[in-house]
Amino acid sequence: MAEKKPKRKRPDSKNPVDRKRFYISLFIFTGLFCLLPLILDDYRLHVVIICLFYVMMASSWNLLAGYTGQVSFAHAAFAGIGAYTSGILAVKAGINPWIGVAAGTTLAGLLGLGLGFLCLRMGGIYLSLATLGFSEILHIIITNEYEITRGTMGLQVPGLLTEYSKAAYLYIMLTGALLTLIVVYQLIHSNMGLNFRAVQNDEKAAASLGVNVVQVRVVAFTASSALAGFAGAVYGHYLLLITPEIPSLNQQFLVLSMTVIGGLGSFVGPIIGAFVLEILSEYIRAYGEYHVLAFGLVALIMARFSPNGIVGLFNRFQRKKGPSNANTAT
Amino acid sequence: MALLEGRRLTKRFGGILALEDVDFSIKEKEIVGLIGPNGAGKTTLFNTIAGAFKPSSGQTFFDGHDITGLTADRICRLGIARTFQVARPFPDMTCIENVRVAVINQEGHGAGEPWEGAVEKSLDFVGISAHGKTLARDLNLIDKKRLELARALATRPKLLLLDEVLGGLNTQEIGLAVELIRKLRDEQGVSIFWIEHVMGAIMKATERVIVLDQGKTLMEGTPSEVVQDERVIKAYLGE
Repeated sequence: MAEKKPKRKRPDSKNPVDRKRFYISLFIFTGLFCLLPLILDDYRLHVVIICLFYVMMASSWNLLAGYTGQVSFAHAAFAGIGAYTSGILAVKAGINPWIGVAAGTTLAGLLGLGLGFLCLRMGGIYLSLATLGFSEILHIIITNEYEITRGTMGLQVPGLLTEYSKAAYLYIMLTGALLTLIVVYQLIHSNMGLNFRAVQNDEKAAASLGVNVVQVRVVAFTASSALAGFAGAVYGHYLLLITPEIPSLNQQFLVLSMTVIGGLGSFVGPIIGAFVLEILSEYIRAYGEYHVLAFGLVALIMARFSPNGIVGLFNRFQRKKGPSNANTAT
Repeated sequence: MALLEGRRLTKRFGGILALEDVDFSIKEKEIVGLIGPNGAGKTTLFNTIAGAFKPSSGQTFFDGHDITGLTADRICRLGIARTFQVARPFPDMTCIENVRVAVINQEGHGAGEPWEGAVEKSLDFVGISAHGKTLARDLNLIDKKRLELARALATRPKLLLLDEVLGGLNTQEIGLAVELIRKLRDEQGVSIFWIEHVMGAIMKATERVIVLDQGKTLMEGTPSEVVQDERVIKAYLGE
């Protein structure tokens, strides 16, 4: 027999105790966030709301990139589709923004399905290139279709509430983030989620065991796109002004950095990444828009030295300290 | 009637003819060996049967269906499982998760149905149920191979394609593995098509051997006929 290696164990995803623990901690955190309007001023509440938006974006991108290994550059573009669909419906057709959010989510999901069918057979780098192209095309259309989108001037849209209050929007964004996290959690712990990971681990072996690889990828892509559309739509109605900045590559790379720095393929990684990077970028905003560049660099360094991000570093530290309760975060 | 039948299977890679008009058939509950020198096209034949490649021409029939050109996942769900020459377990998943993938993707397995029993049974059969929660990357070579076999079995196959499962094992382990493979056929009625370089195992466990050389069927016969055949000896040792 070969030498004994340290055996790593994982928390069992199907284990009802883990599931219960997840929901309990999720609701405790939500409860704590509900108290924030009592202690934070409007500016800080705004930062928290933006953080929550990025939690939605990074977690849903992670669903695709972290769990199925498909790097899409169209995630911000899908958020843009959600925001503009809902915004244009409200401005041009007077449709209730809440219905608009649902419409934006649906359209982003449908476009994700379409794009998925077209390019997921390619896989790997080709998928990334195709989504990059899609993202740029969308950006150009939105910038140039001035009549409909008002281009770089931005489209003024109504809010989700008749009365504007940061606290109320915090609750809305919090609910959105909660919904997104629950969807992601349920999905990655379902049979489909297991197939996601199988496909990411070894596509050929997965196919040989009966996994329909193309279908699995399309499901992941569609779900992830719909969640991005949802995040974008809610975000647009919070900002009240939607600009081509939402579906921009800048935004895309910020979401990418958050996920990679936080921990690609882990559940809490993108949440941590979203908060850390958004709060950091508020501090360094004074130095101009270089923060995305800086984050890109940090993400690169992370990807090289700690591919599992902050969560990975934390786990490594835990394991050194004592192997007993390593891998607590998944 | 044959369980698996290949008719004039041909596979070209650019200008190279990897398989040329290969005919074969496997009956139910039969263990058939597939041997031949390196580069004879054995693994290519398996890839063509299992749907990893589409044949350039020719047809494959399985259990009465024409399965030529179907995707690998469809073929698996119809009842052909395979192992890979170099074991390919999902490294970042536990043994239980590895086998669970095989269980949940079969025809007739509903979304909420339990899978634990089937997973446990497969891991038990190959003798690694103690490693259930270990990540596959942390297993040693033999356990990786066992896991791969457990996974293939969990798809509940009628036919199992084994690609050099004995490579890298010592004599004692080979004995155990051969026993396991025979048990599979005797107790579960699985037919086995088996690529192997360990001739002792082939002699002991198979009823019939097909010899491939340079993409063509060189001969077919009982193990003892095959090892005495001059053409086979020549193919292995050269002129």
